[in-house]
Amino acid sequence: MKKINKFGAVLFLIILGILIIKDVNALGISPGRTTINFEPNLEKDITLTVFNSENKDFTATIFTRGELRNYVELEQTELKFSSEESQKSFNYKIKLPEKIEKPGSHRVEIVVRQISKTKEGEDIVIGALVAVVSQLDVKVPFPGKYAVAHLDILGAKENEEVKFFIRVTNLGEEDIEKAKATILIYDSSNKEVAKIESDEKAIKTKNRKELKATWKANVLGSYRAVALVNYDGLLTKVEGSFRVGDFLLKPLDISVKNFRLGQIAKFNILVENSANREIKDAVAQLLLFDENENKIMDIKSGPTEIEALSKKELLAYWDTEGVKEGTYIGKLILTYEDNSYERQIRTAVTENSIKTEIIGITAFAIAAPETESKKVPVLMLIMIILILSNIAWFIYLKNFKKSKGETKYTKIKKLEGKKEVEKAEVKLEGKKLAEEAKEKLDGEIVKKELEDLDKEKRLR
Amino acid sequence: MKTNKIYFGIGILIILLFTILISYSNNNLIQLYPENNSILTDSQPTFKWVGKADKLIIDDNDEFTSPVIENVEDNSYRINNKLNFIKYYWKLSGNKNSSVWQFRIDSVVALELKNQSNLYNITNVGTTDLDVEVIEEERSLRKITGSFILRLNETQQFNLKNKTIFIGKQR
Repeated sequence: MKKINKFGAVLFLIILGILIIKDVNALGISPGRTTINFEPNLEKDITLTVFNSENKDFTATIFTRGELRNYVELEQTELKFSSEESQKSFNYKIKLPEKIEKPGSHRVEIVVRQISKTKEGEDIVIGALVAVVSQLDVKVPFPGKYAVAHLDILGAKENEEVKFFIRVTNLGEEDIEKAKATILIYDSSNKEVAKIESDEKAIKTKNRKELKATWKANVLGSYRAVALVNYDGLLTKVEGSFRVGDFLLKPLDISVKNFRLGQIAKFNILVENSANREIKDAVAQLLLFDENENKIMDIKSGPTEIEALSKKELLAYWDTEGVKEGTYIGKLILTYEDNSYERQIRTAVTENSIKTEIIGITAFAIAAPETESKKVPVLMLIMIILILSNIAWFIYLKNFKKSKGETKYTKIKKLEGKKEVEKAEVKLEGKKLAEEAKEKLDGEIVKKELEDLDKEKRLR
Repeated sequence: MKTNKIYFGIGILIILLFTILISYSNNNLIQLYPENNSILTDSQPTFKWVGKADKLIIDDNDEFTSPVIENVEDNSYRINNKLNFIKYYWKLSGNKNSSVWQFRIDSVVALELKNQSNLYNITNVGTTDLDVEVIEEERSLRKITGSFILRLNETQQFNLKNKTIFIGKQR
């Protein structure tokens, strides 16, 4: 009975284990995206790596899709993995035509998809598979000279320098010889308070350069900056806002609920008043740009009050008719009373959702001036000490060498009642022996100082 | 005597080598990682070097017009913020400046699928947020049933009736 119970328990556990066991599939590819500049008849080999992180036996098929798929040649269309292979690489070649009419970005996708078959070799009818995509974007330049600009501003405290970074991308076919930005700065009452210029740079076609300017802010408050970028006589404009001093309104989250592409999207911008007083006329403005820096969204919430140390949702609406799915970069600009502040945002638009993250400006810091150290390194002192020690060792060895291998024999003559020492020293080197010393000291060896007794013994 | 000469010579040699090594490493910065012109998939790499450096400087342009500057003390530093999937340039400053090295960060698009009977959990196990297409196949007909965003390490669960393919791509 006990045996049956034990057997039953084991069987139960096995069955339970089988039921609990999950089937796991995983697939990865790198790089997820590659960008190249268009050149007529360009041929380029690109290597992709596929990952088998679960170390399983499986086969994957490779195919292409997208508008440029006819220009891609795959080195192979199937990858077979064994459980011992955690990754494999394969190549594909892109062969571009003489010309692509439409300027801008064009994409092809290389898809790697698991194949799963039944034991009979037929494809499965129920279940799920994964596939991963590596995208190749080909940037086709615009005719002539064409540049787009992007402005980042690093605000500052009073009497510190505000830094302006104007990123200029040459999307045209021709090189730009001179690009320079003039920045007009306006205060909260729209009065021009300063005009500054950036450095000047040449920008080769399909390249990007960053122009830089600074402005010392003497007065606290919110400002608007308008950067006019002149590139070989052509102009492009970009704006931004910044603050000198502390801003009291903090953005927490931007969300959109119950969305369908093509309809009105309701943005909920959650902000927090970090001050111990009520904030009046708080407004949130959202802007989005496409990859060619064209503005596709510019919406504002209505002015509202926010109580001290509390949160509130500001609402703004966007008509998404004609908007395409994709990821867009933009700005969130918060204003209240005479103050304004902006942060960078990234928004992903799909058929059923809009997701926005606040990313802001990152990675800026003040560079400290470089100074050379005039201190003598401690290790240099140690080095000097070691050298001196070695010299001392050398000298000591030399003296020791002279006394080594020598045997001194001393003859001392003593007088009765007095001690008189008559020394006759004989120093014999090397193989000279005591017998020879005796001859030299008239047969009398009174004192023998042997410093190399072992050597003498050996010689005997 | 001959032995003494040898010992002395070795001693001098050791001191000289020691001196040269200390002096060189103190006055020169030798970059180790990321290697020049390398491709990484880790968007928060640990920078490594030999020698004394005060600052680690990173930028996405070789003119370092808007750099990240980190104060460093040891011989390695892991940056705090994730880098983007682009080319970066980096250098060190100390008593002397190092040379400028460059590296690129490539994204990894990866999906993991776990199932138990009809319930499927799909997880983003790569290094970038993903747009995931869902394609259902029924009697040799394929139809796109939808798409969703799957952020890093996020999991979505589905109850599937037909054969379904999840296709992940970088957002």
